[in-house]
Amino acid sequence: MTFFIVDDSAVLRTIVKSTLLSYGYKDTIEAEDGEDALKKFNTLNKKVSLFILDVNMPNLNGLELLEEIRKKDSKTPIIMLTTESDKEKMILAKELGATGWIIKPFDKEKFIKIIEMLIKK
Amino acid sequence: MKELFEIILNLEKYLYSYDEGDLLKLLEIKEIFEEIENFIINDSNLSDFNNNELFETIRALNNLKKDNIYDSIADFINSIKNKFTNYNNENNIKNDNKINESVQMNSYSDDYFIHFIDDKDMLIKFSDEIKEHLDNAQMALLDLEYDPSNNENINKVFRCFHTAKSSSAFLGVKNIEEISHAMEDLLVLIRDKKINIQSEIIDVIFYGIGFIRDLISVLINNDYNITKTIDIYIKINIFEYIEKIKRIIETYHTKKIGEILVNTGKLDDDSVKKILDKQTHENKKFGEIAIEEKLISQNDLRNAILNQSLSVKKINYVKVSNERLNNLIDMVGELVIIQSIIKDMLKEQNTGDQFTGRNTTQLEAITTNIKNIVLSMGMVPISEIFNKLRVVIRNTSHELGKTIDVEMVGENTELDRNIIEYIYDPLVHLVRNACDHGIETQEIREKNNKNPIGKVIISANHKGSSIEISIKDDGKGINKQKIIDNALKNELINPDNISNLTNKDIYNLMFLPGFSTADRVTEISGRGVGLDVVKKNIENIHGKIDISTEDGKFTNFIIKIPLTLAIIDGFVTIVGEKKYILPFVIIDEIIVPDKNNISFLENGEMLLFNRNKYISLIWSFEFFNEIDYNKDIEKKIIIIINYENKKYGIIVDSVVGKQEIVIKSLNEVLHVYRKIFSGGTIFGDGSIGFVVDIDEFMENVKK
Repeated sequence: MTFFIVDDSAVLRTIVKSTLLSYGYKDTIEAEDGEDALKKFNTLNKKVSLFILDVNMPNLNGLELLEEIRKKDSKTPIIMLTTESDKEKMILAKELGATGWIIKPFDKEKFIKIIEMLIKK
Repeated sequence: MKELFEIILNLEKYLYSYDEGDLLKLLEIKEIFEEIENFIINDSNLSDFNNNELFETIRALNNLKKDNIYDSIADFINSIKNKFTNYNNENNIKNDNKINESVQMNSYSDDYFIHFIDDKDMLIKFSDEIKEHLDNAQMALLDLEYDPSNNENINKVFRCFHTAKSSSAFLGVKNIEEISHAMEDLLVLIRDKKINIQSEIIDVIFYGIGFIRDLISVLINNDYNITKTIDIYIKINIFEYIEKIKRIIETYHTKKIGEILVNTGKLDDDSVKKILDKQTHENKKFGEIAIEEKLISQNDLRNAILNQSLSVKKINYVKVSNERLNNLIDMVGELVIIQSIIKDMLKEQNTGDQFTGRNTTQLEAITTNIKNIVLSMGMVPISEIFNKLRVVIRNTSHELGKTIDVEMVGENTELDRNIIEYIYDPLVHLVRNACDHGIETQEIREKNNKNPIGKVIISANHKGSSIEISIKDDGKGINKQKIIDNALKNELINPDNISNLTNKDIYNLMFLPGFSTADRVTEISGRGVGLDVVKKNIENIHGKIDISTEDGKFTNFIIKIPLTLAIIDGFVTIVGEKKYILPFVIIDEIIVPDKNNISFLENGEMLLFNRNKYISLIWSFEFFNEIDYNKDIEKKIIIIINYENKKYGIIVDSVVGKQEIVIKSLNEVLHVYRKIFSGGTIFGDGSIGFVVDIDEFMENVKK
């Protein structure tokens, strides 16, 4: 099971990664901004189970990245991470095909519960 | 059982604030459902609610779409709530057969509040929940005024009263239950498009929100003590309001064709029944069957349909951008000018041709009509602000822990939408003042034999080409001595002059910069913005503010502003070769000077002695760049103006008089060159005039 994490903050990437790790999910792909993510996404050689995208990022932002990903992959769940409870952006994200959003900072336990809710078949 | 109810309330809170995609909330909802499931499985009394299918669906959810599963959850919640209400009533009603639902009550019976639950925790939860819903409803309602077709907003308001109804029923807060019930009836009709939203209905709903909020604050202010609360509740008449809603439902409800035909005596009840019976078998309209059965004539039906469509008042709106509207107003202003130029021209030529005369008169009439229509397009009812002020008063009184009733008069009065922007802030300031400094606390009011509930009356009405807005509170009034003391402390007046001051002079001291009567600085007012700023803002739109007050009884702020910014009441003067227009509101007196009354100061400044006072004189020529002028004061006219509570005399060559002035914007070059003009105008004879921006003018003078 592979998780694709995109966030310009290394701290946050680490938090997400270590949270996943502590629940036994070891396989992650990281990208530090939208452009980097898109490069890695286009050269992907395995199946991703879940995308976790930050909304505010330099270069290509989360919403633009989301649009790009959805052009090629309409099924895999995508979670948007956002610091502000910016409803309009979130509703836009939803329209662009995001599965849903989580407002930072989040409780690790709840985070995992949400992840498991989404990857469960 | 009570616990389950609490969980349900909690669930409702999450559901109502849930947006599709909000994963954290979705998780909460799922977890609450797990809790509910556990509860129901472990209590055999609740086996009715063991809805395995629903629980299973929710457990499997990874995305809650509002349209599909939402309704089943709402049904589920309601079934539990209903069971609860019954259960609660059964436990409370003993030997009580007095209650008869069908009897219309218009006063509180002895047992009206008999089921009022004495449970502080529950009541706190209840108040919090209702308040949150009311806030949401209020926001939605404000939006609805602009966009009455927004179903989501209608639903928000509906859910608010729906929740209020079921929760208050459970807790025995029957007055809130009855209000919410009536409101819910109204909102169902709105939601189902049986009643069109219009401002009267919005007002009524606003009032209902305010009403429930008041009732809740009584509960909170009495620290959820139910005996004290009920004592106050029975003094508050809710029935009038409920009756009003019922009347509205009747008035606005689209009548059925059958109803109309019965009312006009064309059909009797039996025939209606017969037709309705038939209608269940045949897919035909009521009227069709009635005609087939030869019960009514074609004509009867046509009249009834006409009658039906008349009973629905339908107003259609077109959205136009502000910019376009302002352009149109501008163009019409020009049209009015050109029309009057042509009229004058033809008059001078005096052709004696009667057709010319008739045609110009007609042209004038049409132009005036167009002008009036265009100006009215930019007009909006003042209720737009009033309703927001109501919200401000609610919130303020709530922060202060006071109970304040708001009365609005003349909220349909219309004024220029551009002005609305300018008066909102000053009015907010005044109502906050009224709530904070005007209205006393409940204890003090009771001690002074006043109604414990304070009152603020906001009213508006037309006075000629202006609109008068008043904000009146029945609070402690303003003490004159306090004003004088304060003014002395802040060195705003000379101690020797006090005896000369009229009441009006004294109250006007409050509008001076640097004045503050508040003994203490509170959260609400005392934010460093004084009445001087309010006055300034009002004057910026050529308005006036006055105050009247009686110690211990009331304070009333009266604002008079022009209906529109595009046309002002101007006072036309001639300086040098051109016409200059002063805003009429600032003009106090026109004087033909006498040399004996003029004195000179060492610095060359001139003073006029008028009505026992010295007034500084201003030679307007220099500021208007009319350099070549005759300095003989006796050949000039002095216009005395009242500016920031001081009098000044402006010297001009001559005066033309008061006129309605259509303001046109000056071309930018001119504007930079002379900031002291707010615009220009063209007169009927083709000559142009400059409209003086009095603030900039005085600023320049002081330099």
